[in-house]
Amino acid sequence: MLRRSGQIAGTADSTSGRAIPLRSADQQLILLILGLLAARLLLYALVVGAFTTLPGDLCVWDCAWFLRTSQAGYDLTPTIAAVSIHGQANWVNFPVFPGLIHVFSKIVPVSSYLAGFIVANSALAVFVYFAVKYLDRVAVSSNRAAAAVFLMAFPYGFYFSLTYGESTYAALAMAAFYFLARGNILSSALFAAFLSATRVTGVLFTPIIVGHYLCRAYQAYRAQGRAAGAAILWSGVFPVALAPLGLFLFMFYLYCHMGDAFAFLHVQRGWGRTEQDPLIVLANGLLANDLGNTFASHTHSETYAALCALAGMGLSARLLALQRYGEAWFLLASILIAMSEGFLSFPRYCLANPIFMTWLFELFWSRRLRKSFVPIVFICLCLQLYLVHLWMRHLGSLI
Amino acid sequence: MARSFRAIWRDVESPQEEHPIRHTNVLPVLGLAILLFEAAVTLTGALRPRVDEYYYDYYISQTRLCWLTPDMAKRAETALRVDDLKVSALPPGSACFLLKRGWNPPERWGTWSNGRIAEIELPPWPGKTSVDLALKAFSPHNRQVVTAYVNGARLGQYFVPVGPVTKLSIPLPAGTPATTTILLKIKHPARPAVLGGNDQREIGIGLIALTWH
Repeated sequence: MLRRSGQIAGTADSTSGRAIPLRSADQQLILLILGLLAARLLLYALVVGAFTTLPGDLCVWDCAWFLRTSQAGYDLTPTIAAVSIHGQANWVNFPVFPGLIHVFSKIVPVSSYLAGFIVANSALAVFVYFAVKYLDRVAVSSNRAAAAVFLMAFPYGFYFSLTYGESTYAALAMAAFYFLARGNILSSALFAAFLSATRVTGVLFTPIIVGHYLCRAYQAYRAQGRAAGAAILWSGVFPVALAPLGLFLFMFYLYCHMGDAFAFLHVQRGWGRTEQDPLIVLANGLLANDLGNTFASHTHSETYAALCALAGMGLSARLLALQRYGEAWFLLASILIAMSEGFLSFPRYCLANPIFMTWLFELFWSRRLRKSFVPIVFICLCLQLYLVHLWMRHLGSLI
Repeated sequence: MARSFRAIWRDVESPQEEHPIRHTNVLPVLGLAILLFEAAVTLTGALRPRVDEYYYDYYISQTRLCWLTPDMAKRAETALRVDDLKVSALPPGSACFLLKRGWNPPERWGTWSNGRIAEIELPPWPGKTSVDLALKAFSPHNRQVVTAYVNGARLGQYFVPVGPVTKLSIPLPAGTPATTTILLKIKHPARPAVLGGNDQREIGIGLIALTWH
């Protein structure tokens, strides 16, 4: 996982060579992120036409589900919605994001729209912070300002400013990866526990911790013998148990609340989703030949989603080749799980994946592409604003 | 207390440093307890859900049915022989989607209903005006009585004789919504065991084929 250790790259001023104290570098990074976030939201306000109504205007599609969950808690039974003959319920919304909105709106008396908006954008800032610090540690070459700008401008990153769980998920995932890269396994497992209570794919971090301990135990066994290896394995029991705990606590809650611990999976039928072989879904998507529906208002493009999946799988293959097994696994497994439920919402799950975004930055910041970095960021920003514009028009393919 | 917790945390964070063995039993034992809790939640949740019959049939049973069948296309071909349209032409996993609730696991010829209500859910199919269901019946008497509903509206009552295959034509509503639900109420489901044997399933009609027109 960790490819470069030692001095954090961002703590040295690359232009003058002067060493900057760690705390000062972090403060600069935080200020930079907050400035970028403010600029981004101002641009959104220009697209939307008003700043004060921005949180409400951006609250489209699943936003209402998250807000309802944060206000009224979880349903007892599925409800028949006017738009669907299926029974649907909010058990698919894992508790961390709606829980944060609930807590925030209790502390600060603001509307639920504003509470959701603030929580999501705060999580975006945390995501960028951890992503930049993570890139400092693992990327072959990185630059704090460039990374922060790219992550803020990434087209599908616009989901991180919406009242969706994307930014919380990304922030927790990045924090878990960052602490793992630093060797703080318990902290990493703690963030992984919250991650698993944010979205079901959060539980995919657990095998990474298992793999980490197995590698360490094997190395200790080779160097110091069986007792040392066993001691490492024994010390790994708690982090391995802690990492998926959020998911299991949510399952336990659902079992006590409405009787089905797996309700978050079973209720997918309410949306007409069934588990399918992801490779068949991919093949059907590639053969669908419907790229014209990419930005359609009433449907989505299967071919576009399949191409996104191929891009994600290609990036994870590259990560694998670089022996960054944890990230490769996390990205690939997230893509396959999302694909197993069809291509509805797939570009969001794939392109707004935190590993996808950070790895794409590494690619564009590589020596070969660095000259084109500024135009790439500009194009990304324009695309992001265009997607926000489409989002405001309730575009079905962005759901 | 807080200080000792911090000390344990630090030790587990870097076990290979100064004190590799000290405190190592506290958190691992706690970890084992958490693993036991996680296993208990998983097993209890999977084996003993506390839900009503409708929820179990629709959400749990059908979902499991889909998951337990590895080759979805093969299962679709087995479950429903479609006369003029291949099931594989429908979205993948459509057989799971079609058999909404109240069906037994599919057999080679088709699938038996389970209980008094069996539902089929049809995806939108532009240009199609009706769908034919090829049905057979099981009953200790010589026929089965079936009442059909389309999207909640009563269509009529039908007699399905035991023995020959009966074709039931269902008109699809004009301006079809996202999906069409066909609900079949079976008046006298029965267990084959009453005629001898061990089959305790409560069956009434068997769905052999689906044909869009």
